[in-house]
Amino acid sequence: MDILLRYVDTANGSQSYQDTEVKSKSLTIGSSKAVDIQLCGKDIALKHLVITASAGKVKFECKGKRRISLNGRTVSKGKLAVDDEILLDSHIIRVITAPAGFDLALEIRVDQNLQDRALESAYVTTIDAASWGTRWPAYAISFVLVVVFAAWPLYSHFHNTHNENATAAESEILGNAKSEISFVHSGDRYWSTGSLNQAHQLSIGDNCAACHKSPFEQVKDEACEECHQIADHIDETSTLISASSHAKNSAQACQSCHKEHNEPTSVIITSDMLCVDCHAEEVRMAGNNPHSNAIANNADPVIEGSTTTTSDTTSEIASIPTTTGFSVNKHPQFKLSYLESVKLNSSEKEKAIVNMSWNKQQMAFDSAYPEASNLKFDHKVHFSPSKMRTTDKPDGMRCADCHTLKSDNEHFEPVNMEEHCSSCHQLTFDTDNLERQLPHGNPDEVIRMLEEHYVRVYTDPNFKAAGSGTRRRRLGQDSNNANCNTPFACGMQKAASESEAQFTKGVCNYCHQVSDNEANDIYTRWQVLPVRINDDWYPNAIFDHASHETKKADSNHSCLSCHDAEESESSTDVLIPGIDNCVDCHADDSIANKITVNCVSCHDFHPKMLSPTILNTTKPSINTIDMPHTGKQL
Amino acid sequence: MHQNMLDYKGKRYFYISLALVAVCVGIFMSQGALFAANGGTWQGYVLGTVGAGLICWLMALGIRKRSYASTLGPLNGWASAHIYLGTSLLIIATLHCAAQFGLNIHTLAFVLMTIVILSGFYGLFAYMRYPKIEADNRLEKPRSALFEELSLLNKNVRDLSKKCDGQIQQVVESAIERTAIGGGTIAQLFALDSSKVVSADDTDKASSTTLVANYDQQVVIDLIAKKLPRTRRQGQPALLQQMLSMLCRRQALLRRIRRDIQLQGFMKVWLLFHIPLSVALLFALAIHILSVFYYW
Amino acid sequence: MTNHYKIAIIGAGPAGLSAAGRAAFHDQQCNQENNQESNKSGDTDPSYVLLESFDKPAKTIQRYQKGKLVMAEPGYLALRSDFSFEQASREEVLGGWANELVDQNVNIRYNSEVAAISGELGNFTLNFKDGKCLKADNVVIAVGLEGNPRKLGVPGEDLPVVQYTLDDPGACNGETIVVVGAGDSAIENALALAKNNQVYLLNRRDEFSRAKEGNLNAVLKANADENTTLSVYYSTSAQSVSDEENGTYTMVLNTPDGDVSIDCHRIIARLGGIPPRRFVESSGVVFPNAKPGAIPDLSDKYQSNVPGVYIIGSLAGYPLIKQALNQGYDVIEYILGNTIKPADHPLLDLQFKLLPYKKDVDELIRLFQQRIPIFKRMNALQFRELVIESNILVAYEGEMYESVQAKAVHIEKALEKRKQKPKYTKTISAGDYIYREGDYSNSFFTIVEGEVTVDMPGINGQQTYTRGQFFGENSLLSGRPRLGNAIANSNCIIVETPRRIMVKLMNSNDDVREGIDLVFIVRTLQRLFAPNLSSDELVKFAGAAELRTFKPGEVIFKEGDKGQSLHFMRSGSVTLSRMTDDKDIVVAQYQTGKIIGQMALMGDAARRETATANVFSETIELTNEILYRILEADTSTIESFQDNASSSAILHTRMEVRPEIGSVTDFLMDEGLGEATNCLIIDESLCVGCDNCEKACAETHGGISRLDREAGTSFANVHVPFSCRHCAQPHCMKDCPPNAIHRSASGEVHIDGSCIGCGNCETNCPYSAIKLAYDAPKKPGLFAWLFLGKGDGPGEEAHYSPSKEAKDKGKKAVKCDACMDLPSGPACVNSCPTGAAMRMSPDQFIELVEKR
Repeated sequence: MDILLRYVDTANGSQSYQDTEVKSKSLTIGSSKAVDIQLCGKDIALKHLVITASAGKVKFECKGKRRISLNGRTVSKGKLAVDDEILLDSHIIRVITAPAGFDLALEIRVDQNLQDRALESAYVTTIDAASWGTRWPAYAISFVLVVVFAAWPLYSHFHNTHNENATAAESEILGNAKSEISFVHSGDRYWSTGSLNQAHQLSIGDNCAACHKSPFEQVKDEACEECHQIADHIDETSTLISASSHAKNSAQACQSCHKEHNEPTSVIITSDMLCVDCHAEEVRMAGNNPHSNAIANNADPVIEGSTTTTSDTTSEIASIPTTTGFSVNKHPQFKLSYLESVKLNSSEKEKAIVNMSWNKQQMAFDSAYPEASNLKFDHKVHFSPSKMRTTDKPDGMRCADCHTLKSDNEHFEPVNMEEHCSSCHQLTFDTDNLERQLPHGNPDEVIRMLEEHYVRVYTDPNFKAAGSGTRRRRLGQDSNNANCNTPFACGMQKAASESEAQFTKGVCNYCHQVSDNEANDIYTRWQVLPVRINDDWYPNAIFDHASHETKKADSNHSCLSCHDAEESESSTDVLIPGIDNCVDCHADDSIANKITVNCVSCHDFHPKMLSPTILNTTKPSINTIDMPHTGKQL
Repeated sequence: MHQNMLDYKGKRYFYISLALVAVCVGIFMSQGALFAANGGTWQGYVLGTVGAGLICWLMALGIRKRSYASTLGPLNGWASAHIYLGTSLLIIATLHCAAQFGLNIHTLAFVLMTIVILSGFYGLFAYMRYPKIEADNRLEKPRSALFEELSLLNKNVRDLSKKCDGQIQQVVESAIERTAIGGGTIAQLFALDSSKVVSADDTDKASSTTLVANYDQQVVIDLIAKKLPRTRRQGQPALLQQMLSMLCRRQALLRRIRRDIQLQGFMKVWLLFHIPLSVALLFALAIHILSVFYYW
Repeated sequence: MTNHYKIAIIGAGPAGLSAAGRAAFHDQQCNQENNQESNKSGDTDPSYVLLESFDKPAKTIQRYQKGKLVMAEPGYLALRSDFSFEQASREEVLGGWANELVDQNVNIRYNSEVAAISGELGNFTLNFKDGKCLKADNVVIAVGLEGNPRKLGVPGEDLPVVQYTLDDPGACNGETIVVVGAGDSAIENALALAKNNQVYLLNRRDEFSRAKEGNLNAVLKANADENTTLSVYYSTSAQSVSDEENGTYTMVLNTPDGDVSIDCHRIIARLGGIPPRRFVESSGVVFPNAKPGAIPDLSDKYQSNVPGVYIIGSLAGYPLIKQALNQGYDVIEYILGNTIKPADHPLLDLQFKLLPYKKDVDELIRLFQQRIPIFKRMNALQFRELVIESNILVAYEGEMYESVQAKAVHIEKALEKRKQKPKYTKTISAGDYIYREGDYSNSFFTIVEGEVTVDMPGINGQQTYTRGQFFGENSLLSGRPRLGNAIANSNCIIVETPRRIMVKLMNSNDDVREGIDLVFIVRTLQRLFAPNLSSDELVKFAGAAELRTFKPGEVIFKEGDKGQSLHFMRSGSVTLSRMTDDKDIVVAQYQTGKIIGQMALMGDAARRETATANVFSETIELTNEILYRILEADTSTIESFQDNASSSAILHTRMEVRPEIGSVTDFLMDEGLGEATNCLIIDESLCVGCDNCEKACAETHGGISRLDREAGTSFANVHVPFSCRHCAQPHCMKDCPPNAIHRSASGEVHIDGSCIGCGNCETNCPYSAIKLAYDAPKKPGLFAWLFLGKGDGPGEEAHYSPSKEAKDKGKKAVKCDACMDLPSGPACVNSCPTGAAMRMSPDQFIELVEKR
């Protein structure tokens, strides 16, 4: 449109006009240099309003929040008619009747003072004016945050918990579970507060819902048990829990010890607090003791008919004394678990065989209670070179000659006659022919052999014992067996007397306890008491011999440093060291310059693995992992 | 007398913050018996609550600043506390998270917080340093006075140029017309000058529209200086001399104005980060809290 | 028609009109009587005549600018006149009166200016300018103070182009206008017109000496700025005005450098009025003194010392329209011999209601005036006025007090319904404080009955003032807070007169002023130098002490002069400067209440500093001789006096060695902060320009900021923005028609709701701390803006458009009230994040500048 702009200048007295023509479809008014009518003023925007004419109608519209005063009314948009007066700050724009050929004519009275004073408004001179300000950026960023880090994770969790089969599948297949969670549904990974234990990472991946089943609830043990077979520290029936405070109760939840997402703490914690928090005060057990099951499970199946009589065990360890760490006074004195032989008073006399059973019995370490293994053994002798001069170990024996460590590095293989003793200790009985030896481990066989031997001696005419020049004796010539009239009888007589000699004085009695019931039948008269060497003195503790074996060269030294066998002359001596021995080198981390041991270094929280049979009955699941937690693993 | 934000009431809030931090460190130290220090222990929760509380309070400054009849102590004190407690937040938050970082919302919140606080440090620096420089640059006059002076100079230069030959008139006119001040954020912060002027070479031709950069008004000044010794018309040299001095005054004035805009910018720009990010932080914090208890 | 009237009323202002109206009313009555007895109709000639020099009635009001609201103050005074009057626009008021003039067919003669009055009661002769004359028994002079406009006094002065009033500056656009005159009205017109017109201002002298400070600065600035269309001709007078054939007019001026002729559309002559005094005196009326504000002595029936000549209206000291109207009514009644109670009678009655007297109002008034020596020589009418404006305090004891309080409650109830409550007796219980040390009240107390104890600081033991004595003059004169506590003893009756009234009185009545000054000096001497001497002894010294006044910039004493006296500063502020290597270094700055030049007394004959008044200051000069004599008579203060001297000596020298400090002080004084009591000072090295102070101000004051941070001047990073400094003697309070500006006891100067938007305070304030503004419209709430960006956010909304109501209410004066009713204290300071903004009193300046 054609617009006539008439600038009225009243500066020097008489009004002077200055007309300019504008040809454009719209007329812009503002303080910038770029607009058609530049009017400066503190409150005039760079582009304040636009005037447009269409079909003879003249309209105006202000930009944004801007307003103008049209004939005294403050408006933002509207129509313009002749003689309308727009007031911008103190500039006046009047619409005048357009001369021929013009669509619109404006008379503009510029307030020159203002125009000069407010030159600044022609430029953008403040950051606020130049920038987006702060409000909308704030909302924009916040919106993104909410969508990505709140909405998405929530959706993911909802999705993962609400279609079971998906998550089920994921939990079924170990390892590639991650791939099962599509990116779209793993938004909640950004909620993870720390990386997972690698095993868990592998099996669960980004599926938070695998453990976090329901919102605003701590992870429940069930979640763990989906994968893990856990024999608890204390079985649920045990009265400890019911008796204990809620705090203790919850302390039994997996959560209370196993925290995920929690570097640097690993999933399994070694801190003594684990135990000490409960055991700091003495724990009394009504009924059976928490550790007893563990013992039961450990019970060596070899013993026939062995039963742990709860009565006495309980009385022994009815209470666990205060334990606050590992040192002589923080930790209770050890308790040795003895094997006690019990004679069963057998009702059937006719089969007069001493029947025995072994009971485990815990005794205070310093109770100086003898070991009853029914074996006569003198460690001292075996170590002393003087006594061993004649043997093939002229400078004494080594522990390892008889004691070989089991694979568990704690216990030792049983010692036996054939491997460890027979090389020196032969069972000869007839000084005339030393090549003959008695069999070991079967008394009847011994007697039978003696009879055969002596019957032959008396009956076989050309029997001549090796090395003896004596000829065959005549009947009745011998003083000691004058009353025998036949060689057979003499032989038998001799055998009987020899048997008595051997069992009561001879080779048997050398190492074994032999009982004699004066029976006429020599087959039932003597019995060698069964030998049972205790191989597990501390069933509730773990000890790694291997890691303690220093100086492999002469391992005696390393053994003897704890077990003083050299001085032991009797097999009743208990050669197992007590706590005082440990604390020479070991202590909990509260004590400096000692080797730190935690509770779990010697004690299991979770009992040893249950036997597979029980396992399968309890939980037939392929992806079951058994995790015996022992100090060694840490 | 006048106390700046740091010295307010003998650094009262500095010591308060110090005490707060000390307490928080104490709490932090008490961790690690069973589990390593972490946001999830009770100590972690305590520190977290303190931190969250601080953040909310720090944000509340925006409201206190605008509740003008507030009886909650002078804003100066609030600002002082805002600075010191804000700084302590950096430590407290670090204690809360026990420096465990990862790719997650929690660390994001921490990062946001850090940026906000760092931008705050810049702001403090700017507020401490620039006001004096700015006042001196403005010769202790308000900016509007500078612009009034400018418009006066423009006017006088124009009037003078009317007496000169067409070319000068055209060039000078365009120089004034095309003088650029301020502009976009960048232009303001770096005091860029994108002034233009009609190139003097082709102004002899009737239509001269080619514009050349007129950085610091140097081009137009040079032109006048060039003309000065070469003019023949009588009375011109005096005129040009006068014109030259005015243009130089104008140049100096423009420098001041740009510098003023720049300094103002320095004092304002940090808010463009500080405020939006602290709002974002507030949301991040909310999400952080939601998430840790949602996946408890 | 006869040329002899019973009553001739001169001047058709409110007073004259009302008088004429009353006279007309009485004529009508006796007409009716006549008509009844003798049935011949037709009115007798009027017994009175109303003479107006102008061609319209009430020309003073005619001169108000267009649409100005005419106030009906004082609201509590009842109107008693045949002419109606209530608060309305100038047009409405004038229109109303014009009609009533016709309805009551008042006998008025326009354009008949009385030149002289001669003769005596019963036979006065009034001579008109145009030679005519008439006779009258009584003359009522109601010409007011404005008098008649002075004409140009050059050929062509009567051409229509010449006008003596300006209705609406906005009505003229793009004209060339010559404004003649150097007074405020001339300057105000010129400035207003210069917005859209080319204006030439003619000043006969070479400076604007009569102008208010505000106007002066404005016109000088405008003249200096070549962009404004206002130019001033100094020492220039008009020569002639002539009309051209083309309809325009030409005015010839003779300027110092030859004649200049201007083609102009309009000539506005603002040469002030010819004061009526000479004319009045010509009739034999005597004025008490030569002061312009002086008021002739009048009886309580408005009769002057010349029997038969009555004076009413502003000339009689009643500037308010309503009073004038009432007096017009009264004076006619008096002349006709009817005894009526004056209109203010009920007000006085209320004032005396609870006094323990059984006398009637007039007796009491007389009693009061006798009891109080300094008021003795006031004229009765003025004194009535004074009592009405004052508070009458009465102190009772015990159950007496209770019973009176009960009465007071009744009165309170009775007055409840009145639009504007008149004052009534204030009852206090004996032992109450009348004022406390440090109160900013500045009223003046006179004791009619009983005793008042005042404990002055510096004087051990309490002073007791008794009947007829006055107190509180210190604050009245200095504008400083109260010194000491005043406690009312039982059964004392006190008249508490507002400062406004007292100032008016002191200007018009020398006895009052001198009386107060003397007592002031006596008590000052007593307080400072001779606590042990009785006032009677001191009076003789006081006589010798000289009261001196200094204009801003005036030197009190010069460095190096021989000093024979010291100055006690009664008001204002003074800077002391020393000349060190040819540089004038400000070493100290003292406010009211301090002593300067005391070293002269300490044997150090030569002045060490030059003392210059920063603002209008008053000092009491004491020559050494007197002082020595006083100190001989009472040696008790010498010690403290010397200590004081040495401490100030230290201060001065310390300041001298740091000239930069002095220069800051100097700057502050140049900014006029010497007279401040509480000013906003911004530390530019801390101010980040967030304008939170302005926003706070606007937000806590109805959306209009009272301070302009960016404006104002700075020096050495001390910035003094445009904002109120609550001056010791506020300029804004000077002439506020509705008396809407008050100083609270805690010192804040604030404007109350009764502002009429006349703009006097705006022009009077030298520090542009007051502006006129419409009420700002309501804005969206803070959170609406904070979260949604609704509106422009906190602070004064840019170019808000006032609502209909606001427009109707009109612009009102707004200024800083130091947030007196905010518990948080001044919002500007309270909301400054960087601690750059501070409000302080001049005592803190030393601290402020020494910090730099």
